[in-house]
Formats: sequence, structure tokens, C-alpha cells
Amino acid sequence: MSSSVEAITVLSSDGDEFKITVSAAKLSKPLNWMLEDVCFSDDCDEVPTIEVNSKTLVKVIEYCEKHAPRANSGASDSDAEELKKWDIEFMKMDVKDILFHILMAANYLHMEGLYDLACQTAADLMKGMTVSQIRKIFHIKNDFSSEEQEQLRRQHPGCSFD
Amino acid sequence: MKISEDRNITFIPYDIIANILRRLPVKSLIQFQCVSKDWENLIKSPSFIRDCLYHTGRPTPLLLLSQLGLTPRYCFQLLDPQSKQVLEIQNPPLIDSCSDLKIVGSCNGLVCLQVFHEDYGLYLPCSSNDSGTSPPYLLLWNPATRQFRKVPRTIEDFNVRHRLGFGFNPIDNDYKIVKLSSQFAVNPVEVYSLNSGSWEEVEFENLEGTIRISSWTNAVNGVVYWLGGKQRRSDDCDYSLVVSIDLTNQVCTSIPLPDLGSKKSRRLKLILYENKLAVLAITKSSLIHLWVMEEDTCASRGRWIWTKRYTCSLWSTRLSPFELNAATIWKSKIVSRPIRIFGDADETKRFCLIDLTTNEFKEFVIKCRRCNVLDINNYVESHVSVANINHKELQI
Repeated sequence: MSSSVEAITVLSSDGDEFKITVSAAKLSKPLNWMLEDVCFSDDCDEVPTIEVNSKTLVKVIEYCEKHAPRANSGASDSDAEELKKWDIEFMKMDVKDILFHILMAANYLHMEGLYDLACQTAADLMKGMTVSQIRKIFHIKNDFSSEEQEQLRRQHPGCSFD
Repeated sequence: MKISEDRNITFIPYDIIANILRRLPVKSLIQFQCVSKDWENLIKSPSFIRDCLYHTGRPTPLLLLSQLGLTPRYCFQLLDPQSKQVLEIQNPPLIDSCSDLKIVGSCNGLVCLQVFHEDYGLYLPCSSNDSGTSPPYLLLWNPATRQFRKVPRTIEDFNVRHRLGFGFNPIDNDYKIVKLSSQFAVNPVEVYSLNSGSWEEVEFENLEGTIRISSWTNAVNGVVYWLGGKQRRSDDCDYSLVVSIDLTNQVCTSIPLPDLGSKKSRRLKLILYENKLAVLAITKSSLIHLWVMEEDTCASRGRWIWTKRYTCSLWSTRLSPFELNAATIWKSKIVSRPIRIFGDADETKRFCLIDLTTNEFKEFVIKCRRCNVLDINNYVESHVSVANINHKELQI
């Protein structure tokens, strides 16, 4: 394996080029495989495409670069505390972006830490929402008949379908 | 560009939705059942309910049962010993007029209650012809979803000599109540299954001699335990063993306790520690020993190993061994029922925690209603249903 490779270039689904350092790429299994491919082939001109749009890929790479030093070496408690604060700032975005872009990307790229963080952030944001807000975000239609709604209400008197 | 993006991804895989939802509090889950039939089915599915229970972020407060001076005579509260926050919870219906109330057990967010009525003493033994009115009866209750179910009458009516146990059997995913006589091996044992919705009489191979069973019970990993002893004279019984009933194969075992020293100088308490059965022995000399029981998988079957895991003392505290009324273990800390110190106001609740690992003693005071804390149980918020599989509609 050539040790001179420090970063790899990938294409987003929109066709933009991104550079990601080797240590950061290690946070994702698929990226790691790509990395090995790049290192093993002597003259590989082909730039791998990642099925994530540019806007999301920027965020994913930002997360990887931030978390890479800790993931690769382990860190002290104060670092962990600092990283937690950074995560909160990092996840300050629209719930739709988290659900449809960050979560899907984390799932696709097998990034456990980001996936867990995004799930928790989405759950925290959804906690206070009404049923109709949830339906709107997830593009879900109310498919209960009025009898079924009545039955659910009987079981859980507090339930609201709005 | 924006439009095509939105049109492209509007579908989120099922496992991602499930992973988000299992982090939500029960209140939100109940609400979000109304989103769609798919969401309702997901939230009600046994595998999702299980995932929720094992999600590490679930709050695990203590469930307090307190007695008030007036009607209603009982109230339930949730106490978080970390934040010292107390949350009043709504009583299940049917208990407001009761004269006595006991928690049989608390398991995966379900609480089994034994409810007595005023005229209990007059009707002993109860006649079994009019259903519903003759107490005592059993109630299964989920405080988080506020669902409850009145358990049907037992085959043979209750009397004061009966002992109860409540546990979850992970093998058949069923909650069970066990009723047996305090003079065990005399009367048949009855087992209620939430899934079948009915009681069943179970015969056990007689254990050697009659065993006296105490009301101390606990259940873990599909086995219900009671503290018991070989009977000598009518009220002289030293608890020297644990009687277990395995809910899967319905095998009854008598397990000797470890050598706990002189019988006269200690009090025993059956307790759970890290999902294992344990015994707390509190000695007159203010020492507390925690013995944990494990099955020895290497040795021949039926062998049990007791390990003295911790010893701590009350020496640095102002508690005497008689005042320490250990109720449960919460995150390696023994929780004692509140103590009263001269001068304390009625609404002052002085809780004591003793950390088994460090012997650190902590006391905190909570001001709440004028009440007497009768029982403290471990509790986890869940949306486990009290409805059985065969009868979807709840009996109220």
C-alpha cells in the first residue's frame, strides 16, 4: 500500500469534486474500501462517485474531519465534552435536512456515530410536534377510517389525529 | 433542482424510522400511533416495544407508593434520585376507594397491584359467586400509557395466606402472575398469563416437606423468586432458602441461601442487582452484605453459586441498622425508605442512598405531600400493553 496518499477525491451525486483525508475516510466503511482501491491501483484515473448530494457531502466530510482524530487515537474526557458541544452545533439544521439527507447519507456510508447522532437529534426535534406536523414532514397520508380513529381514541383518550 | 431533490427522497426506510421512534418518550409514541396505520403497527409491534425497553436512554425512575391520610388514600409518584425530581402520576381508576393496596411487582413498565376493599375482613373467605365486587383483586397497570386491566378472579379465592409474584418471561414474551400458598406444597399454584388472559393451575413436584414462603418476592429473566424457610413452629421461621418458579418450564426449585452468619443478628431482603437475584443481609453491627446468585453452568444442573459482591457499613451515617429499610437497588445504590428525624415536617421525605461500590452515603430531602411512603420499586417507562393477544379490547 502506498503511504503517500493523504487524501482521496470523490464526486458527489451532483458531480462536484470533494477531497477527503485518509484518516477521515476511515470513519466510513464504503469510503475506506474506496480508499483501499485507490491505494492499490497504480494509475487509477477514475474518481469514485458517492450517491450523496454536494450540500450533504460537505456536512458529512466536515463531521468526518472533526471526529477522525478522536476515532483514530482515542481522546480525553475534556475532548469528548468539547466534541459533544460541537455535535450539537453541527446538528443545528432543519429536521427535514437531518431526516432526508444526513440520516440517509450516514446510513449509506455506514457511519454509526453520525447515524446515532442524527437519529437522536431528529427524535428530540419530533418530541414536541403534532401528528399533522409529523405527517407533513414524512409525506404520510392519514389512512385511518373514522371508526379506526374512534377505536384508537377509546384506547388512548389523549390521542389526537391533528 | 430543489423540487427534484424533494421528489427524489421522500421515503425513509422502516429501520431508520424505528431507530428514531424508539428514542421518543411514551407520551409521543402514543400520540404518533395516529400518524398512519404503518406507524401504528410499528409502534405496537412486540419487537419495537422490546427495542424501546433496551434503548439505554429510557428514564428509570423509582416508583413510589404512598399512603395519604384521606381519600384517595394512596398515590403514586415517580422519583428520579439523580435530579431529585418528583412526578405525580395519575392513579389507575378503581383504587380510589380501596382500603389497602400493595405492589406485587413492577416489570418492563407494567405494575401489578393487589387491591383490597374495606369489607375485606368481613367476607373472609370470599364467596366466588359475584364477580368483581369481592375484593381483593389484581390490577395490571401501565402508568405511562395509563392503560390498566383488571385480572380475572383466581380459581381458588385469595386469603391472607396466599403469596403472589409477578414476572416477565422473555421466552414466550408473556407477563405472568403466580399465586401460591405461604405453606407451599399444600395447595396448587395458580399462574395467570397476560397472553392467554386466564389462570391455570399448575402442579409441582413436591419439595421435601412444607416450605414457608414470605411475601418478599422478585422476578428476573423469566423466574419468580420468594424468600422461604423450612417451617418449624407456627411463627418461628428462619429464612434459609429461596424458592423459585421458572415461568418457561414451570419447574420449582428450592435454593439454599449462602452462610449469612447468625440468624438472630441480621435482616434479609430479596433484591435485584444488575439483573440478577441478590440478597441483602443487614447485621446488627451495621454491616450490609450483598450476595449475588448465579447459575453455575459448568457444574451439574441445579447448582447455584452465591458470591458476596459487596460489604459496606452504616458507620459513617446516622442510620442504625434498624432504621435502614432497604427497598431496592438503583444504579448500585441501596435505596432506603424515607426516615424521619425529630423536627422534620410532615411533608419532608428524607431519602437515603448507600452506594455499594464506594460505601458513600447520600441523603436528600424532598418536600412533597403529607404522605407515608409505603413502597419503592424500580420502574422503567414503556408502552408495553396490558391488553392480551386474544382480547384486543380492554376490560375496564
